[in-house]
Amino acid sequence: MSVESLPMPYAATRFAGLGAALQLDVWVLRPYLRQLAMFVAAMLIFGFFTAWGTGGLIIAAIYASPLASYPFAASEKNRLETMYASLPVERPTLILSRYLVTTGIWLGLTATFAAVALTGGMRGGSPDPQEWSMLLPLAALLYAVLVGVQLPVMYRYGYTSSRMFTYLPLLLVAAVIGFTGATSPKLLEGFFLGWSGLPFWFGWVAAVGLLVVSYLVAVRTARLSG
Amino acid sequence: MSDYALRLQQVRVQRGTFDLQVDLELPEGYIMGLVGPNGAGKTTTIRTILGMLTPASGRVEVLGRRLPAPAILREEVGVVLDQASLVEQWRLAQVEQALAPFYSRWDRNGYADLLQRFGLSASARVGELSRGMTMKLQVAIALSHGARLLVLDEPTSGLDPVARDELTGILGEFLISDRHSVLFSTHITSDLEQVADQITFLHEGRVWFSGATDELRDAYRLVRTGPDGIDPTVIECHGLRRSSTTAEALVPSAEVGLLGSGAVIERPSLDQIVVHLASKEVVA
Repeated sequence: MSVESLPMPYAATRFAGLGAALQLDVWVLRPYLRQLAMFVAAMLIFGFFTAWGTGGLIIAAIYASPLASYPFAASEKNRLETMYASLPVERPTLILSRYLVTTGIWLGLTATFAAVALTGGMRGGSPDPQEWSMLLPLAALLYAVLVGVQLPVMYRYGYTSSRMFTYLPLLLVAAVIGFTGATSPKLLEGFFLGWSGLPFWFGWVAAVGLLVVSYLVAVRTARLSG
Repeated sequence: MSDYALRLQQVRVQRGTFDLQVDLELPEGYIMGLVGPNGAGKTTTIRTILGMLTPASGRVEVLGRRLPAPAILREEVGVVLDQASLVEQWRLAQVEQALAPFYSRWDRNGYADLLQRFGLSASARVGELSRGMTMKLQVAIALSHGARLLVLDEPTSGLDPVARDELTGILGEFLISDRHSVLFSTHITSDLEQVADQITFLHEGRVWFSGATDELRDAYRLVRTGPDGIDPTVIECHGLRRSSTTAEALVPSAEVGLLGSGAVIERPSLDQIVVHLASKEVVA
């Protein structure tokens, strides 16, 4: 069959390889699953005995950020750039797949941390639904900020050049919370009060919006990286 | 429909201070050797053909489609590099599981047969393979997804002569179908003597020759004379090497008649052409 007679028009093929790209990202991560699992297990055991409670949700969001860099590290280590370039799939599809896999990992981590936190919470009393409904969307937003900044930077500059930079948003968030907590605790309390007054879906919608914008930027930065 | 597997017309690619300007045409059903010393622009040319680099100007056509083309075009292009672009921990069976979903015509039986034929175990890990085995694995992948065009970037560097000869045999079999074509970049030009119908010779980012291999070999003669037998002010010569007793240079065939008697004149090998065209005058 000649290329001229290939049946699918360009638009139809744009995301046709998404399923294959998702599988490929999982395959790329697979050699690192054991070390990831060991690290997560250590954190979970620690969280169980120290009764993190809902704090585990925030930790899951923060931990998802370095996890998101693993496929980039694996790509550089194994020189996968040529493989990606030679696959019959559009680059935006590969990028979308990376976002979906990263988000899937975060959701899995969150579910696991939530299960551990709930178990720990039940040991010391009943979990507070209001606290959960406030912190879950906040954790989603935190994840979206951290990963939303990290992925476009990694697509532009690669893992080695940008791995330290990608921790910057996390440092900034920690610095702002730490500084505000130390100097104006009422401001921090006000933020949490204000946040708890927002509808449950707000944080989720904001997180999805941020990730969509981040994806569009990543498609552009990946193109710039040549 | 175009009869060319590859067509680069007035293509210019700039990478930092390196400036590549290339024109070449590879008709369907042929093997083209892309030769030249290190840094000549071979890998930049291949990265441009694969769409990894965007030319500043010019036109790149792959299998009749102008780039940028839909990604589905890459179903028909196989890539073989000197080092595999695959996860080192993958087993060869997992390579198939990771890559096959991208290709509508992936041949599972064909992949298994090729692994067996090339002496590769499906349970071996990519990182455990020798360079020769890595090259065979990449060829197996390319043939399993039905590539019509094979692009090989320095596949023989670091290979022993036996493995290089095996690759030549594999390429010969691939070309049994007259719609299959190969672009073979190498600085080991002796690999191309047997198989390349066409040669593109790159030097410092420019095409010095692109055409039939025989045409290139007929265009020059390797000349050996006494130390003063070749006068560069009288005849065009390339890579003139002088010692106290001899002089050797590559001379255009049309100018051989200008040489004095006593010159030894030979049809040059590709290796000799590349070495002399790329080198400057040497006086020992």
